[in-house]
Amino acid sequence: MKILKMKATFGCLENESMSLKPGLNIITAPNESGKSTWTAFIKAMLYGIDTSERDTAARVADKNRYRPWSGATMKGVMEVEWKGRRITLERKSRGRLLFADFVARDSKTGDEIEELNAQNCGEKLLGVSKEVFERSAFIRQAGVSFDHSNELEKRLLAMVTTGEDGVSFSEADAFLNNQQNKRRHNKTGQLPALEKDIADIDRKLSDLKTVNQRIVEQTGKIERLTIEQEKLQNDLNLIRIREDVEKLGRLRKAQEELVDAQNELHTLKEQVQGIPADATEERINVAYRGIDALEALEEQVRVRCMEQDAKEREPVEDIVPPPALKGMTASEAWEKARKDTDEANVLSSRMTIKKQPVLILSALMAVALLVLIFSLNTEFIQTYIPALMLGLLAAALGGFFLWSRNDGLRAQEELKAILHGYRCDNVSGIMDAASSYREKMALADSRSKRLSEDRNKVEEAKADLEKKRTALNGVIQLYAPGTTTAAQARTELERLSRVFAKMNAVKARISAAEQVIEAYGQVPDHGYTAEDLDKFPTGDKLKAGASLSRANADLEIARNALAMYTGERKAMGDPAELQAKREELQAKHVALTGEYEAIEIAREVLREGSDELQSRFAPAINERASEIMNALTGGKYNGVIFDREMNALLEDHEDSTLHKANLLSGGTADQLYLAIRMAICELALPFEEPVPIILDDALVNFDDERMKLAVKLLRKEAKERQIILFTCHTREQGAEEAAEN
Amino acid sequence: MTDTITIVHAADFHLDSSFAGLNPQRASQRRAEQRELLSDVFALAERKKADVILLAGDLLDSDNAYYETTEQLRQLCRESTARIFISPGNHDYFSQSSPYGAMVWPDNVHIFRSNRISGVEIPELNLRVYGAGFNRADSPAMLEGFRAQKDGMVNIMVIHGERGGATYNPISDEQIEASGLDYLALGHTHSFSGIQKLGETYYAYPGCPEGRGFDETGDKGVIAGTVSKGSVKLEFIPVSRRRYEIKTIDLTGSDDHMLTITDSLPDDTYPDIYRLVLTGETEEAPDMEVLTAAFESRFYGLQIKDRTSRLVSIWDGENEQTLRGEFLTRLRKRWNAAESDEEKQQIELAVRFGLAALDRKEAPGA
Repeated sequence: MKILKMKATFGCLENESMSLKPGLNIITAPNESGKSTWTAFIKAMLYGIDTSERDTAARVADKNRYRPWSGATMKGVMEVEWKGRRITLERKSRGRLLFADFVARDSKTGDEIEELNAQNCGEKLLGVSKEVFERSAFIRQAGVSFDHSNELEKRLLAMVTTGEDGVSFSEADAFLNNQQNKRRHNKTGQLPALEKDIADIDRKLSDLKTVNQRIVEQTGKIERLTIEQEKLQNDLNLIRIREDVEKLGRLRKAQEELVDAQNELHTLKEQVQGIPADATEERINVAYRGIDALEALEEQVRVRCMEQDAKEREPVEDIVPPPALKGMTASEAWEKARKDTDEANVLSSRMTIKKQPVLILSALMAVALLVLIFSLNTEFIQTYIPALMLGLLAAALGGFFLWSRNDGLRAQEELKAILHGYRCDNVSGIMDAASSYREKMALADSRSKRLSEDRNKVEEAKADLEKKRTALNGVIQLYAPGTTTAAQARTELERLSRVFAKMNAVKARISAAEQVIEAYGQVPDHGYTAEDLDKFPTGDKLKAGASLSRANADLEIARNALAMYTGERKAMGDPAELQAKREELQAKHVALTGEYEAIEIAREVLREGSDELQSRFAPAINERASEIMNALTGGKYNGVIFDREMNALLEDHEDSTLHKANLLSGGTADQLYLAIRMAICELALPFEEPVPIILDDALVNFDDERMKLAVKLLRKEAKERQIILFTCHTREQGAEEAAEN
Repeated sequence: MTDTITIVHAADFHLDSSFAGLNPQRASQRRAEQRELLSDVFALAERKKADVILLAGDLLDSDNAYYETTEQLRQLCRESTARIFISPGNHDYFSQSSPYGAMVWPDNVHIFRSNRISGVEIPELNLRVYGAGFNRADSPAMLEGFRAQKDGMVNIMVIHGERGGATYNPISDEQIEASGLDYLALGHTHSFSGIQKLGETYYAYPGCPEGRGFDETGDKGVIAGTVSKGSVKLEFIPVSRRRYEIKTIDLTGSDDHMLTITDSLPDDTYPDIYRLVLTGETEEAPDMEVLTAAFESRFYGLQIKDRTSRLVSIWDGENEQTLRGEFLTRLRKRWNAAESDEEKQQIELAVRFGLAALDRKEAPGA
């Protein structure tokens, strides 16, 4: 097919025209003047515009990109030559459906060609699908519109193996791998997340199951415990009633007892009529003991009297005093004796020569003697004086001795007389006699005093006895009137005492009964009798109470446990909701797993296809690409080989070495790219009706030399098919013209 | 003394277990409704003046039983004038810790605790009720060798088991025929079996009283009527308030999917839970989100499944000499050889993924 004429209102083209020739068309137009728009137009005229395509991050969809800038309706006319016929294609937009209005006419006759329609036009005319046409027949420069992540090699490989310069197997596989990883990649991805969520729900459901079971258990437990507790409570009540009934029994007995005792007391009281009201057993006993005491006392007094009398009748020795002391009292006697002793002493002393005067006189005499002597010797003193003196003194002395002796004799007489009065023979005897006399006097004195005192005491005792007797009599008359003798009194008092003892006992019984009545007076009457008690449980009230407490405690615990479990369950959520959520998640899981598996299939088949294509295409492309490369490089490189690892290698003609493509210079790489593209075109596009090839700035990176070689090649190629080269340089034009000529 | 016993026979309530096809809110509502269902059945018994109520197992899911539900069941039993006989099934088998064992049941309820058949006599009705209960989640045949006493009393048995089968008290035709019972009240199968007879013995499964998933569609209910010596007058009484239904709608040739679907639906579907299966060939895939949003409110619960395929072939371009062409050709071969619709659908999905990768388009799916 060849394109002859075009007219476009499309993108930036406003009703613009272009005419083309069958062979090589070099169209020089500056950048931004619509080169790409024309190529898009060609595609759109042949294949329409995909209105379902959406904008992506990488590119704007054609439908949006090529809306006429002027706002006019998109329309276009293209005249082509096909199978010898000239056909005019017209397209117009219909509302949202861009370029949907299509009509193909025979250019000569104007007849509509019905076998061509909007959908099949391109395929019919060109023999290939839109995708193939896009990928093969359009050649851009090597560097443009590629992902920067793509290496040249990959793209070359893609072209070689798939025959398209589109998405290579590895790209597509990477895309699919990515899709798979989104769904599952080891432990991450949508599927593991879902699985985790489902596991969570399963756990929660299991927990709910457990807690529900516990609730059922606890409820059952509570029911059983409640029944037991009620029974225990009932038993305890019955035990209490039993107690009350027993207490009432005791109350009645006490009441009866009270009446009996009171009667007895009354009787006893009668037995002690006439007795003073304040009589007590104690007092009677006291009176009774009083009789005994009195009798004992009487005996005592009697004995004492007798003893006293006996004592008084005892003979007493006379005291004979010494004559000198006759008729004196002890103290008088003592005085006298002293006086007499003094006197006796004096007399005694008179009986002895007083030494003093003797001595004095002797001394004087000695002096005198001395003096005498002295005088004899001297003339100082007359001798006669001292001799006189001496003589006087001697006379004195002699006289003194005489007097003294007489006096002594006289004194001795007197002394004797005195001593005689005391019947002793020495002076000390006086005092002895006096003291013995005094002692005796004292003894007699004291004895008489004592006797007298004793007598008084006895008299007092007798008086006391009388008093006591009188008193006792009074008391006895009180309690045992009419008794005269002690024996009678005793008997009576004994009787009284016994009666009073009995009365006390009865009073105690009354008191006891009253206490019981007071204690049990408030006990309620439940209406049971002792016989009914046979049906009542026996048992210790405390034990029963303890059992009940335990049962209550157990119930409390069980209730708390139930409340806790119920609370837990509430917090866990509704199992129906959880289950429904699980279903949702599970459905998603199934869908995603299906997708994962579908992607796996796609990858597998892609790989198979790629391998197949490789084996099919690669040799043919290699061969043709080598030929073209040879031409483009002027014979420098003449072999394109892909090694086992799918690295592109060029065989250098000169030294037959192999160069890796990715080590080539940019220019050579561009040439290689062009060569392979052209080879692909030839092999992928059908032979019968050659498809035009459109190059859009494909030689822009070629240096002039290379460019010339390329143009030469294109000219050769243009003999087989229409070639349209858009360029922004003028040199291509120049090169062609040069080659023409 | 009348020899006609009025009975209500129900089974497989599965109280407190889950429901399919409902969003969480609705699912939670359903539990409350299930309890009302219980009340309905007991109210039916009162209306019919039933003498006995026969509950043939799987009333509860022991795993999930809510105390409140069991309490309601007890309360209804307490208030009922009938005598209630319960035969624990494989989901609510008897154990000391199950609600049947742990809780105290009213006097008019008899639970068959042992897995050996025993009988309870009710002289004033001239009736003997036999039964046995599961003690585990499975059971060997309990009916083997059983013969009902022939003394003029009406013999009824209530038991949970499966006809044929091997795990859940398998019951054979021979066993039924040899039993000599007047009526055998069964439970386990979730659909009404019809009133059947083998030998002299009538028997039936009432099915579950309310469906819980898309495998239990249509009307559900209980059996009620009278049993006498030698004859029964029993009928199926629907009690379900909500039904599960599956509806297939062919969208081939439809310009407006919503309209086509609307026209296909019956009017009053509000109480029910539906699964709409869309089939046929359409240009564009039905928009599930939009359709679900549009139709949700007509149902209590809605699921839509897309089984449509595209008019425009996804195989377009399959013969080209390109990777794409190869890819499509190979997958087309597999698709032709596919044995099931699911397989075909999966291959179609693979195609879509592959094309998205090759054409640099957005991938389908999430």
